[in-house]
Amino acid sequence: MAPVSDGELVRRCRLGDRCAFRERVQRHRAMVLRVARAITGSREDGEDVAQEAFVSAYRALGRYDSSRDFDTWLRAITVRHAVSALRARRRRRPNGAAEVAESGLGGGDEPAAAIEGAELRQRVRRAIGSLPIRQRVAITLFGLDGADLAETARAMGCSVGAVKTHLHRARERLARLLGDYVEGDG
Amino acid sequence: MMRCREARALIHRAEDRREPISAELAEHATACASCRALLEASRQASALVAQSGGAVSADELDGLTERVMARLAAPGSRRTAPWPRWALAGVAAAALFLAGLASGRGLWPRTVVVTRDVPRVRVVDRPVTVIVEKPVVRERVVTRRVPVVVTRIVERPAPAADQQPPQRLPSTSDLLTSVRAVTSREYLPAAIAAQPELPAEPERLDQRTDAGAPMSVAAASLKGVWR
Repeated sequence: MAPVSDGELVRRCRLGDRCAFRERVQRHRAMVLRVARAITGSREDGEDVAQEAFVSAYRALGRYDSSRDFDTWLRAITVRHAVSALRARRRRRPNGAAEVAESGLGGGDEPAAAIEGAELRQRVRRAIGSLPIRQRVAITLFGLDGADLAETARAMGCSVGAVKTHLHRARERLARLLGDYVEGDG
Repeated sequence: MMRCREARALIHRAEDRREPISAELAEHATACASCRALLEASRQASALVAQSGGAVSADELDGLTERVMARLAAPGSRRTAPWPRWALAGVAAAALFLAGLASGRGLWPRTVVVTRDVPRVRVVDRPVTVIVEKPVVRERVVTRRVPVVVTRIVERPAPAADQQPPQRLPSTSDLLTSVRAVTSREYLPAAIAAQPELPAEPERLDQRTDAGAPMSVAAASLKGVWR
């Protein structure tokens, strides 16, 4: 049996077909969960954000433009929820770097060989966690799953030029934060 | 010798495009601690972020699906996805239109049927234009001239006096101030127009029939023109 097309699934979802939306969730849940976890830097927060993103997407299906890619639309919703979660967390706990160090950006799941040295990983996590939110989102989305600048811009709801600016500032800031450490490695 | 400003721009460009750096830039980075820090920090961050989503287990994914569906099925959650905006706009417009109709005033000029309670009429082949002045505001009597086009009048026997339905209107004067037929003889069939009693210009009509019952608009107009 041929798989149901994205457009057909959206049409059925709009008619209130929960089974169609379940299939939608199953298709995109891995992407949503990875984006949510990467931006929030937390497994638990990532799961909450992913759940909220799907519920919001279901409720916003009436505003979905079928000519747009559903994956991109859903990614943008996920990013918005992740940013909201980050902001709420920073309001509760202003010391974001320490929080990221606790939660561990990508903590535990990455192969040990991917980044040499637990200490370096920890410092990089802290540095990314201390970035301003837009810079953090930009560098996370751009690095995750090999997204290009245009895809990152669509997910963030801004222009490619704005994404470049965020990325450049984030790199410069990371270089300042990690400078003395990575210089020694170089 | 490459300058730092140029080298940093090239590092950003290479990272944006995910391209390898040139040999000249690599040489500069080896010699320049600041540019080397930028290059290394970018690479370390990219490597960490690339792994940051982590491997997602099937159990986690299934758990997410179940939580989402449970949220949607929870009491208070919408049973169906919302309608598109254009559909909501259409529903709102339809509701507004129906509300306008229900108010009795309508959103555009209403068709006034003048043949409804005609006691005795004749068939007219040509359209007849009648101007009706009637009160349109219930509280205050405000007259307005409403042009009405009669396209066809069907002859119908008048009901017997004891079988006449009760009048829905309290009196003709409440509804009808005057009716003037503005047609001329040329609109009428020759046989009718030749009748000597047909007035050239209709007079102001009596608002009561011979039996003293209130007249409808159509009855009054017909009475005035052709009787």
